[in-house]
Amino acid sequence: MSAASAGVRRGSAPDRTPARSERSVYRSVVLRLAGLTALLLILSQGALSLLLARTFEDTLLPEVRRKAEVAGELVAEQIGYAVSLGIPLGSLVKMDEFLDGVLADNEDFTYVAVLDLNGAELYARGIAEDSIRDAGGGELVELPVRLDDGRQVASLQVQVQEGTVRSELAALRLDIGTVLLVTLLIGIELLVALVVVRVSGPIRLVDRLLELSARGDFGSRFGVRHRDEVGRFGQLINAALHRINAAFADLVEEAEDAHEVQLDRGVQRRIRDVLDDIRARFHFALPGSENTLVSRSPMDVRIPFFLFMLAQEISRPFLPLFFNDIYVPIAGLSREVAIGLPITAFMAMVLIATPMIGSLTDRIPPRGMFVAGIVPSVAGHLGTAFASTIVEGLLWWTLSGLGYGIIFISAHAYVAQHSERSNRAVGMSGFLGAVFAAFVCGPAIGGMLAGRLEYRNTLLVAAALAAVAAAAALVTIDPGGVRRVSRGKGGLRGWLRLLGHRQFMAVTVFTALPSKFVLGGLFFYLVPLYLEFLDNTQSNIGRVMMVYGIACVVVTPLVARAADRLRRPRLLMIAGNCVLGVGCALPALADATGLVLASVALMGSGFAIVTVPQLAVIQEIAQEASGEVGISPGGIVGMFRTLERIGTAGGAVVVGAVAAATAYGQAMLAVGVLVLICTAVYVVLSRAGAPAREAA
Amino acid sequence: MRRLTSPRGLAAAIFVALAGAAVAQTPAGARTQEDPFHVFLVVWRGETDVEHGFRAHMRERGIPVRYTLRNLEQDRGNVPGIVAEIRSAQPDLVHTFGTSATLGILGPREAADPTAHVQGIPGVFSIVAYPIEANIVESFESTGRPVTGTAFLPPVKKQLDALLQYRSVERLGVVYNSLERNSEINIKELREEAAERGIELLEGPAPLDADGRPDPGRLTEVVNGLADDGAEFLYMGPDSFVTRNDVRITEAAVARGIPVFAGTEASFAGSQAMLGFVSPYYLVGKLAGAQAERILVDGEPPADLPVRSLGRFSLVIRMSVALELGIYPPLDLLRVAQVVE
Repeated sequence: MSAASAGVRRGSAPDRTPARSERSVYRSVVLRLAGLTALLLILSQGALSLLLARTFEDTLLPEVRRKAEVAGELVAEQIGYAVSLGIPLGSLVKMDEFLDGVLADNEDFTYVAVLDLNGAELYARGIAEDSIRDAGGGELVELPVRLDDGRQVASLQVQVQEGTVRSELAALRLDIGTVLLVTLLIGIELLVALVVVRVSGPIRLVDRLLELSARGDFGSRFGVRHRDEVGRFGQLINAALHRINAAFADLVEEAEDAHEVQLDRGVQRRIRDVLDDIRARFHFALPGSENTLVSRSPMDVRIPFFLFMLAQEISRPFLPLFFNDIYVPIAGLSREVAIGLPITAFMAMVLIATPMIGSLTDRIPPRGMFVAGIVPSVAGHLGTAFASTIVEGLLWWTLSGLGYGIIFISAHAYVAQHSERSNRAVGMSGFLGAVFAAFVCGPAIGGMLAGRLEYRNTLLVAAALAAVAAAAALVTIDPGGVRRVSRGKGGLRGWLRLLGHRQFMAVTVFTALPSKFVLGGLFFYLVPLYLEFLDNTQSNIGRVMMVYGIACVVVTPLVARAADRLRRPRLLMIAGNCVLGVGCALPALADATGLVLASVALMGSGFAIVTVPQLAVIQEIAQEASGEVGISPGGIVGMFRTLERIGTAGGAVVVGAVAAATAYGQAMLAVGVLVLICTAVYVVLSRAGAPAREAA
Repeated sequence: MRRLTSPRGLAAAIFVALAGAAVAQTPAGARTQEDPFHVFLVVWRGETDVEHGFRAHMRERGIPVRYTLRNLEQDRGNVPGIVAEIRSAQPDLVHTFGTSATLGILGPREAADPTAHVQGIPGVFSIVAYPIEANIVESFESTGRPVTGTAFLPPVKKQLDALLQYRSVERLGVVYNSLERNSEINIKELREEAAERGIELLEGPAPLDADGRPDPGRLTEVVNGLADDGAEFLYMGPDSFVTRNDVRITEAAVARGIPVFAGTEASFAGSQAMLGFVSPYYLVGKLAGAQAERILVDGEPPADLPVRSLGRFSLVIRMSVALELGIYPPLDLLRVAQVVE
């Protein structure tokens, strides 16, 4: 997942330990802990689920049957009464209305019929037995219809649908499964971060201290941060080092005393030579002024950032539905566009605020920024939760977009500051890991909460979680650290030249923009609406959307490995966009939840396949184009990020307009076709532009 | 749907039981068994379930009452004698049965000759189909005189609903006495309700004899005429003449295979009517008893008491006729109906 690096606060020793060794340190610990956690969770949840199922079979089903018998007896009595009065069994009047009334009064009855003694059906309403059996099983209850004197004249058949009870239980089991998965992921996420911050990071520090000592350098000490086993271990080492330094100081003092009183110059020289020799071979510090080594890791930001992203993703499966609920007509806008507006405004806020916030990272340390970002985010969530019209919701949600932008950039800056060149990629993948884990857990939790607490209360939960993220940031993130980031200052002319750069624009406009457009327009906006239109529960909507995150988590490492082996990032990008395009278009086949699910899975996979090689390609282009346009490579990558966010921002409103004019499935088809066309254009442009580079 | 047990119903039953017990233990007004209230019951044709219900209410409530029963024997000529008797006896309350008895004994509002009627004694009437139109009270809410009573006629709209729930019809026949004020009002309502539902109303007014009175001997002829015109159901409203001849009318209809609907218990009870939607006289009598209790025990002025009507009516089916005609009641109706042979 990720690795930590040890930053040296004062002075620095050469970094000899490769990131790999540390990864192996915590990996074995984490793997075992995670495995054990998973095992325990699966065992306990599985047992609970099994217990529930058995309880249902043993008690609920006979209860359903008994209820059917009681209700059926009442009906049979009425028929028996009518026949007792002298009405011929075959001439009962308005039986269809009567039996329809029976079905309406007993919601779990699917079929009710009156049969004569030969078993011939005289009257029947509802759906017949066989089709119900297919649809999930039903109990057939047969009751005698008797006259006053007890003679049986007919029988009444009642079909009880256990399907509703069963499907509710199945939904509950799915929820249990989802909780299991989410707790596993969150548990492992926190475990990894904890182990790195409190165990493997400090142990690596000890490792380095011992290594320094082995080389004769006793000038550093262990920066103890936690009073745990590792901390005590570090203190012991510090005590040992302190004794060595103190002993050397004593030695020097005594030697100098001896030097002072010695009259023989030869002996004096010898004393000095010995001391010089010791000073040359060993490095001591004055006791108490040792160099303090502190364990610093980009991992520190992972817990707060994950919690924040989780809060952000909780509203994912219902946000457009919520805005639909508080919709009021906005002049000249269709309902679909109006609902998409807050989502677009949120991303537009991120887009606009990013450059301004970026310049602040020069002056404000990441921790301060992170905590400051929580304020608009929490306020935005709270305001949206209490909004009574979509206009209020729009304004508050846009405010939370500001918070999102600040936190995203501060977390990014922290990772950049605390990872060295050698493990920057690993640090960044940890950063992305937190995002993906939130993509999985957020919608799943949000869906289940929204189904039980309603939208507004779920938004309050998200706000509370964001506040917790701020508290976590205060605890785990290093308060200091401002680093000047070299920023490309190419002037307006440079930026215009960049916009004219063929390769840059080809990648940006025809691969990045469409994939972000899918994210903003389909995933953030259309998919929840579509799933609700298909009569899915909130829990189900969350689960389907969770699949996007799962696809990202599963596919990303595979793609990273494939990219290493293939060394053809452009090909991967094209393949990813094809997957994305086909995925989007899938629901055009039929309005079915299964197809939307498949579509979401393909979208997540496609997105992951595109994203990994895209960075390599854009960095390569940035290196090449830097001299040409006079902007630093970092500035070019920044510009790329800004441009692709236009896709995310515009998605909701544009897709909303399309959906207003057509149907959901057709809107998805339209986006899919657009993505495929863009991919085709990119293929043509990149072939024409650089056929040789790809081969190399 | 009919509920066998409902918590609210049960609670109400318990409440009524407790309340009844409480009242039964307290002495009613200042009266005792030695010095009971004196009530005059004036009937038109003889004692009915109305009077039985009235007496039952007083008994159940533990109110001591001494009754004097007087029968007009369907003759207005007997009115002055009974009025004189009541005046001299000065009872605590007078209860009258039917429109004729009420108009005779209690008189209309602003009567031409007030001395011809009982005055200054509280009156309660029952089985008056149209008390406002008969000029007995000003309105149901405010009677405008020291008289109150009970209403018993289910709204025509509800009668038709019940009839159509049994069997949908396109042509509905009605036999009535065009000389009766009650029938006049009833037929007018019936015309409006039938028209609203797209039902053709076939009217069969009773032919008049040489003296200008409705002729019972020609009622079979009227029913046959309606049958020939295609009537699918026959309606009998609150009409004294029709009620007197209900057996003749219903037998003629059944002979032609036509079911008869009765809007009053009197016309359903002894006839061959197949369906009735009525106020049971016994319950009407108990309601009249409740009105009397408020006057006698609670001391409320009768003028302050609105004319009360039963909240619920009874659907009655005469099964023998239904079977004979082969026109069977739907099961949904059987659930709520009272079946008689």
